[in-house]
Amino acid sequence: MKPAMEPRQGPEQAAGKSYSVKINVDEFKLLGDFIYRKTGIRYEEKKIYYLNKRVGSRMETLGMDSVAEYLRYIRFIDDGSELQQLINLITVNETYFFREYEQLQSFAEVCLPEIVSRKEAKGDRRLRIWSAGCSSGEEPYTLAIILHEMLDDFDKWNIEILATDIDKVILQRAMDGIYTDRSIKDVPDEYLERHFFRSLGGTYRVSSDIKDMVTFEHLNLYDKPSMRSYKGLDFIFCRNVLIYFDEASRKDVVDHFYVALNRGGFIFLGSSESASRVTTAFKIRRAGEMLVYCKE
Amino acid sequence: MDNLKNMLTSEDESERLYAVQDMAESGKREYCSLLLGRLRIDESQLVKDAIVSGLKRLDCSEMFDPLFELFVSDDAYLRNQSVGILASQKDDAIGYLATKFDHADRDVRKLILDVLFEIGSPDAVLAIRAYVNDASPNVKIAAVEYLGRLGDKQSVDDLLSLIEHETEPMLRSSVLDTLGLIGERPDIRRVLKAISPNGRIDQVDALYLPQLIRLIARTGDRESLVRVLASIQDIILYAEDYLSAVNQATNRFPDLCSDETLCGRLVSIIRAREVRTGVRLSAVEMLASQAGLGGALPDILFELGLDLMNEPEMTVATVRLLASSGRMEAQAAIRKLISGIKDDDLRMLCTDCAGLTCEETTIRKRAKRKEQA
Repeated sequence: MKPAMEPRQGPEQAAGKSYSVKINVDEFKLLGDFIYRKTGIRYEEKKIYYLNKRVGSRMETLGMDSVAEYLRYIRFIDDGSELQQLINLITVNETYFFREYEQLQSFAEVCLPEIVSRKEAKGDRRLRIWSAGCSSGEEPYTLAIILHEMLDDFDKWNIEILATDIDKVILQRAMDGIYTDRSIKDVPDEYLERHFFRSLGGTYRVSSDIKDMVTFEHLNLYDKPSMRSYKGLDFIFCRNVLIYFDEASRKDVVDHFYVALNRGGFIFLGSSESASRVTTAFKIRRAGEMLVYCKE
Repeated sequence: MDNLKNMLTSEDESERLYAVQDMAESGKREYCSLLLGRLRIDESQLVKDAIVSGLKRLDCSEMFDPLFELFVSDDAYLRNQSVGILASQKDDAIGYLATKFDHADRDVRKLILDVLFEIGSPDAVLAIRAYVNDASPNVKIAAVEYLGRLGDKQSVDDLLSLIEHETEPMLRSSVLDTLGLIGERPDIRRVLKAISPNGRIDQVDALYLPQLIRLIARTGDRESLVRVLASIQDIILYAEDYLSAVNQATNRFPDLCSDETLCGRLVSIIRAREVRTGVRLSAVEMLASQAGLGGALPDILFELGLDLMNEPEMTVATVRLLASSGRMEAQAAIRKLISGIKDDDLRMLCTDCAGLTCEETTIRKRAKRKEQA
């Protein structure tokens, strides 16, 4: 394996249309509870303005006059498609390539070699990684690039990167694999040259080699039956996603991650997040400058 | 229900986890006893944590007795988790625990206190207040601490009585700490009378000084504050408390550092190499930010800056002091110092610091001239 990654050099925010609605406190509670039951995402009262805009946008599209009407529709009539539309608007999608570089360095230079050498010793050449909450794809493609660069005999490995998100619109963007300057600002020059094509319009397209390594799937992390089908992962990345969940739902999600990981596997959360506050089942280990969580 | 029961006893850890999750999500209180039973025996930390989380989501009011029994378990994990589970039941748990408030075992009473603190409701606070008169010093100390953290100002009188009648030093310290959070100015006199002969600040037992400093810094009048700070002899030992107090007090008394004695103490802290560098730097910042008070301060800052020039770890502090003195000769000294710095980042930092400080000084001087005009 190569010893080190290239050094780095440098959200898609859901925007609602301006349609004037004012959700009152009771309506906010009803809607908030409904969203929580369906997705595990908890909105506090101070975020009422945020939902105002997004709900307003949906109401305008559906030609509805009152929030009460919209609530009745989404809670009792909708077959799930309106809920999905709302989810697509309310989920925050801020991300870029090689985000939280130091953590990726720990993954690339400590955790990955450890798992690779353990698997090689057993003649197992399968690597499975899950990017949970992948948004517009920068993270799973970043992981694909890292694997491409760090594994010596890359072609001999059977690599599967699963990338899931609750937002279908953003997943389509991820599958397109086309990005602006803002997304690639931290990509090391060498990697940019090798794994991206720059179009005349100034956007960057991920190479097909990298794209082919990633499989995108729609997944709601709060959907227990779906979550329970994910098993046999060596690495799970779920960074800056769980902050939208409350304590109880966060616990359920992290527990599923634990079950989904192979023994010796690693989970990576955002640098401001802590798995040990959620469950003590993971063991904390040092990997370079970072602390990482391992299923022993 | 049978299916989940079977899954809960499965050899497969993930099956047991899923059973726990599904039971918790069902909201059915009938599952509580099964889950609690499993909590005692399961070997998987994952499953145990999930059970605890699950029980907190369920109505466990029928399980108060077995939960309470865990308070005397040999397993520290079970003891601690039972506190959280009971606390999740809110005021219902208080009603149950009220029958146990006088338990013979002080460790159990302490755990009851932990539950009450975690609940934190008005009824819980009332119950905690009663523990201030517990037979065990440790329980009293915990009650005192929790009242402070819950911000219960109505317990101040009880706390003052405690400090007047109790002699146990750790307890008195704890009361002082709490009064530092919730006490008010009129309380200081009673405190001083209790902890010092003749109520004199300069005769307070050194053990209580840090807490007293904090209390007076937050609520005391300027005179008391200056007296207590001036009375501290071993300034090196109390450097951090001293700084913290001055920092807090300057919000209420912006000209506090014009006091010669206090200013002198800050200078001593800055000069003392045995004090942690971070503390010395904080003292520099505090003094430098007071340069606008004028008087002897600019000269003090300049001299101090020159004295620190030989300490590499205080380079930025030196620049800050010299620049904030506003003295003409300071510029030349700063330029000479910066030109000798080999580290690019440090040189840039010092240049920025000098630039910003000079800007501050210029703005200050202009404001003063305008005022005088």
